[in-house]
Amino acid sequence: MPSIGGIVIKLIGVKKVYVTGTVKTWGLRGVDLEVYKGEFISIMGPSGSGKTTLLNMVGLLDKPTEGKIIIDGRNAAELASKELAYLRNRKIGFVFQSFNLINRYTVLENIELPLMVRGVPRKIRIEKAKKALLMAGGDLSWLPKRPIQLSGGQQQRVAIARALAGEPEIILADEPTGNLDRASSRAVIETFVRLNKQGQTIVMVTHDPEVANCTEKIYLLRDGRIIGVKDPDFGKCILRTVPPTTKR
Amino acid sequence: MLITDVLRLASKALSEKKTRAILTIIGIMIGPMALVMINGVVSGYSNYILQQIKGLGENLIVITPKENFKLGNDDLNYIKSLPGVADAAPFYSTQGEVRVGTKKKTVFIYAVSYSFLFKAIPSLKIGEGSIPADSDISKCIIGHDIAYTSMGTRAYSIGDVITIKIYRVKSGGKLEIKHVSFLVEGILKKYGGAAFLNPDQTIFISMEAAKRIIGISQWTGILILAKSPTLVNNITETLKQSYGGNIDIVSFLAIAQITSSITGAINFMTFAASLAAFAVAIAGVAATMITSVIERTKEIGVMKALGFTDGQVLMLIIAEGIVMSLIGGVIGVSLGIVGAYMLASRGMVIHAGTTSILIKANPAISPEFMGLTMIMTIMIGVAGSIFPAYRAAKIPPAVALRYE
Repeated sequence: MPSIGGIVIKLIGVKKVYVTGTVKTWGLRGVDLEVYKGEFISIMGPSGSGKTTLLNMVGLLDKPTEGKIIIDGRNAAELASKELAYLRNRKIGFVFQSFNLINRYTVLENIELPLMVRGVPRKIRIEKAKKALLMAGGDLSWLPKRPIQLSGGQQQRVAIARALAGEPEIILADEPTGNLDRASSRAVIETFVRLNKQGQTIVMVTHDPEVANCTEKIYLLRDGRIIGVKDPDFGKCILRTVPPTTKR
Repeated sequence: MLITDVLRLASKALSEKKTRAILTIIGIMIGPMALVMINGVVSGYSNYILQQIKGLGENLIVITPKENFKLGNDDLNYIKSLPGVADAAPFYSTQGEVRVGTKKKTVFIYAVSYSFLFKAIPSLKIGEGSIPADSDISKCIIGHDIAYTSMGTRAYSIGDVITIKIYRVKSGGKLEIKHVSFLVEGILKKYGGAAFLNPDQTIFISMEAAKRIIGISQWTGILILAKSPTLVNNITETLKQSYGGNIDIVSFLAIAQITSSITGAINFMTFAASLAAFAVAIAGVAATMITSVIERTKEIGVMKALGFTDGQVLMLIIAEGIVMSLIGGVIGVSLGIVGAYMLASRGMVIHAGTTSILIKANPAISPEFMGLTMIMTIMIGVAGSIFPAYRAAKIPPAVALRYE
């Protein structure tokens, strides 16, 4: 088990309301959440339960209508967009369901992006990008390729490498296996488990129990509220189960 | 962010949609191309004309009597006494025909004191032979293009006799044809210029020769040499007051000033017309960039998630506009230079009475003007992309990421 440290990010009574004309839609109805350093947690819930909204809050991509998001000892809800961008760049690494790689850039350039923001010289960036790609289980021969030349599973590893390149405190993954086949999903989760063992804090949103059971703690989300915390059943983790078609 | 990264990402974004970028660049380059081309040609001719005038003498004023008015010795003495006048001399001019090689050629005949002529027009130089004495009525100085045919072969040498066929309108409207002959004493060096005075096709004789051999009694006008160009306008004013409408006054300085103001006006109009092209280009860049930004909304969301600030997104989009305008500017200015030389090589024909003169002048395109045009073109890129860039920068990241 990796060592659990202090709180990386803390949500206190976070509410989010989307207003379209006169119609109010609740995204979150009051969420309290503490993410500790070194944790690997998953947030599960049906679609529309507010998973992505919650992840956007944790990732400082959106501001709450009410409540506090404490990161680095400061309330992110009160920070200017420039400071939020700085925190996203230094503290957070994103992995999206649809990879969100930029196809006109090479794999290397995609991984370099968070470092470009900081003005890191190219030589150092390339070294860090290579290291990140290897950590994400990727292959260095991918570097000059375009993301579109890679398979879905390979693209997701590149996306994980991009998230790792900036050496963030926390990785936020939004349905990282949602667009992948079973083999690729296993590979991605394997990578996350390995990274977590090396001390990486990971928060993952998923609706797949086989994926959620590989984490250390499962938060259940319904209608914008956390309705419970569940211990995972490692026996049902995708890394241990055998797909039905290959059962003898 | 490093500036090299900004330019690299901007160039990549443009190369992804090549056709769109190329069309936008074509739209951008029209303004600088037209500006450099037209301005270069107009300035070239303007410089040429001004140079000609400088060669003729900025200090020179020519007065010619109007119909029913005669200028005589009293006028000459009065003019010489005016403050600011260095010297003055009467002159006589007409046209004639000579044989140059196998061809007949129309030439100008100027009768004026030789010493005054070479003092007033310092750029006039004797190439062969010498300047005859004013009293030597049998001799003349001929222009380079009379001594040599257009093929470059010699038609007249020093000491040769040149016969001129002169047409004169006598009182009563009768046309008189007269053949007169002179000994060639001097041949002028090639002068080149042809805008106002065409020395290469002129025969210079003394006033005495004009009076006794051609038989003229009335001066065509008086040439006045001012002590300095700054005094030319004062002398012109005094002459206007003294003679009213009886004489025409031409000062080369005034022509230079008029030329400058005309070319200034033309250049201003060119600039104004180019501004329209520039405005269209701004709209073109804006349209391209807005489309590009909308297409890339999700990507902008990703970049923001990775930590790109609003300012960095703004910078990236504006850089795309700048890269396009830089390319458009360089191509536009280059084509403008090529176009200016092509236009100028056609030459410009000036019709003056029965003679027409073809003048050719190289375009005048200064590095400063090219620099200014480039700056204006780069401003197109900035102006056209600033609004789309601002829009892109202000999209909330969570909204941008949801965009499909």
